[in-house]
Amino acid sequence: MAIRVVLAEDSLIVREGLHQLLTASPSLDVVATYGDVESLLDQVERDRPDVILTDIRMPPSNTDEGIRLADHLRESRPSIGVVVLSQYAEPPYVLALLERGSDRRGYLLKERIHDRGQLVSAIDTVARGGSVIDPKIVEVLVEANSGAERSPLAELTPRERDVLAEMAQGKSNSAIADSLVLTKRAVEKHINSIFTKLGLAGSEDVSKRVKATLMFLAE
Amino acid sequence: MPTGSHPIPTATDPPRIRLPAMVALAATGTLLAAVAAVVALLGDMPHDVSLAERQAVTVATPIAVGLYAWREGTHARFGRLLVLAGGAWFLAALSSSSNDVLYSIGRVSGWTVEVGLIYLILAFPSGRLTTRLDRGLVAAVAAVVAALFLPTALITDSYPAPSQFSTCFSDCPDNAFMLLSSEPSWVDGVIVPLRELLAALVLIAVVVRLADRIRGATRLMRRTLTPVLFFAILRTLSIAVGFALRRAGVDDSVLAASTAVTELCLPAMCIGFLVGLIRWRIYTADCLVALAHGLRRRSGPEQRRDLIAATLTDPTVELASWRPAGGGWVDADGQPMSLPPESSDRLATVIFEDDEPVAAVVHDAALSEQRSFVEAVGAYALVWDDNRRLAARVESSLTELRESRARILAAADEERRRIERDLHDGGQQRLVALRIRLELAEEMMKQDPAGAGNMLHRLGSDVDAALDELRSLAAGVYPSLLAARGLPDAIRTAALQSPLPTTVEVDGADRYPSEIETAAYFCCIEALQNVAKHAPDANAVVIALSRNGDLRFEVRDDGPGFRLDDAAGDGLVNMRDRISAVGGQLEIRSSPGAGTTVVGTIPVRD
Repeated sequence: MAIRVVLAEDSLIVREGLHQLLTASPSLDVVATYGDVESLLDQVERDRPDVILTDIRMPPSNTDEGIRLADHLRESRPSIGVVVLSQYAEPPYVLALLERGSDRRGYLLKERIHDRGQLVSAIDTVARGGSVIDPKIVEVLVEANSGAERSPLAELTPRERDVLAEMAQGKSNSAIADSLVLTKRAVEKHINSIFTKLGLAGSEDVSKRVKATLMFLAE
Repeated sequence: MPTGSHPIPTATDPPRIRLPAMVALAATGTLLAAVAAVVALLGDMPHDVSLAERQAVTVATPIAVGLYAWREGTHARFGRLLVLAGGAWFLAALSSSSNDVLYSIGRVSGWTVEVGLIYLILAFPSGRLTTRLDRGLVAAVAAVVAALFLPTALITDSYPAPSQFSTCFSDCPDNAFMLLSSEPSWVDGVIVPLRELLAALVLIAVVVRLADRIRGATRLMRRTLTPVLFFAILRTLSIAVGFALRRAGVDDSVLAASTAVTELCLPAMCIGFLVGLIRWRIYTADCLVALAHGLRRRSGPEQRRDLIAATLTDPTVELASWRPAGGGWVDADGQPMSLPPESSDRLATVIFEDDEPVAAVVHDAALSEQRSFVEAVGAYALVWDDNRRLAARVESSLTELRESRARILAAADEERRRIERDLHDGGQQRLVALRIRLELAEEMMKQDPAGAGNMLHRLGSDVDAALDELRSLAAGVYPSLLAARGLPDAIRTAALQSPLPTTVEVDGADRYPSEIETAAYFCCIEALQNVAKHAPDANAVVIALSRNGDLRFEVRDDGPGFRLDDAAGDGLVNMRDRISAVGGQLEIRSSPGAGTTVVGTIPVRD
């Protein structure tokens, strides 16, 4: 069964572009598009989306409506996934999105839009309960932290750092193994080592792992 | 209590009389004047010199002038004395009665009138005898009256006639207080001539003393005393002439006229007092107006002192200011000084504000009788000085405001220019390049479709780079996080991007009006950039945000620090401008070797 997607984006050009992009994917079913959050919420009962793909910045305040929408839905409709499209690479937005749980949440920079594969895969991950964080955000965090001398990140090996970055994006162990060309066993070993060095509690739950890693990096 | 370091209160006059009391006293005075007139009308004495009217005027005038002075306030003490004199003169006016007892009371009281009158003349206008000489003169008059006048009331058949308050000659009423069966001959032969001689001498001494006082007095006192001197001379002359005429045995009508003049000198003297008081008021008002003009034209504490000295006609004037909380008195240069004790030849007139001393005028003791004027001049100059200071402060903060507004505008313009440059050099150039490559790809499409596909793919990376550039440009123009998530998140993100290890401490995260958040944010960023520029080896930069009524932020580093005197950069001025634009304050603490701390506080109204 196709994933029911609702689009929220105030810019008509981008909305139409996204609509075309997603309609072309057989695994997705775009049931509605909206220019603002309010009308989306009005119709959410009827639309019954699995995932909402929303711009971060929309009327009325043009600040972080997308994140507030996700926050609102966490209470009222926890089964709906939310992928936030953003032009901001600042980590606090991501932390705010994940504040009340990282499952069924995704944060992608707008420049990912052109890559249909990445976008569809993110929607798919979120629909199945996982989380997706744009690699650019993780890059910002890792870069900022590795500069500091006393950061525990300095103790990580270059390979472990790569694994950490993949982990922070919400990838599963096997996905990390694929992208870094490692065995699944080796990935697990690296992850255990990272958790020990950083003093984080290990978790099999990929979503929880994302949040813990990001929180650590953002500290 | 150490002397000199505490204020010496100026001797103050009694409070001015309240209106109800004044009305009551005026009514009483009118009644007394009417009674004096009626007594004169009912008596058998000749009325050829309008005796009744004379008595009424003699009683009413001192009470009326006294009430004026008492009400005016500055000379309330003298006014009270004058009203009292009016009561005494009513008793003397009973001399026009034909009744033995009333007549005798009147005649005895008549002698005491002289003592009171001399007291009034010498104590004018303060109501006090200020010198030993004055007190000696009054004591001498009192002694003559007590020794040579009052006792004779018990041993004389009749009082010398005519007197100033009566018009009888040979047919005067008997002395009701006579104790002996007959009057000793030495009373009329020795005592009466002796006492008349002494009385005339004392009166002349008073006139001389008054003239001497005027000669050595300030301009103000001279103006005030001159009308009194005129009538004092007139009355002394008329009394002396009266004695002489009585001795010479001239015609009754001449004698009567002479005594009438003597009596009328009393109300005339009161008019002299009134004229003196009015001249005092006019002179002081003129002086204050001139002082106001002078203060407006001149500035500086030295010139202010000169003006006060000139106004008071005392070149020795010094000014002292009171520093509260144990500071004591200080002179114009801020050096501690002590005020002269009350009995020296220098006097200190203290100016109070709400019962607190604020300043003192130290002046010559010759000004002791015009201390209310000294006080008024001092207070006026002080108030004027306060105003000038306030005006200067307002003016300087206005200038500061104008300058900082101009700097903010200039900074905004510069910022716009920078954005324009970045948009053109970065975004636009990349788009132009893209457009050219797109054109090339289109051409290539016809000959080499595979190569064109590759080229289009590379164009995708160029678009990504343009997007990246736009995003960082936008973030530099205004941090979106600040509006969306508030100060702590925006500062944390800035700290992440800082080349120095930076930690952020937040005590009570809160949202504030956006102009306050923006000012605090850019100030922290500026401070952070300053650390990166001037202390690139600093180990810990801490940004602390806290709220304790005000929003407070602190950026501290352990860099080399600097001497605050050497700090003169646009960065600091920018920070100050931003913070003061939202009513806050910026403090920079640094010294070589001790790092630098920038502290900003912005008041937050709830």
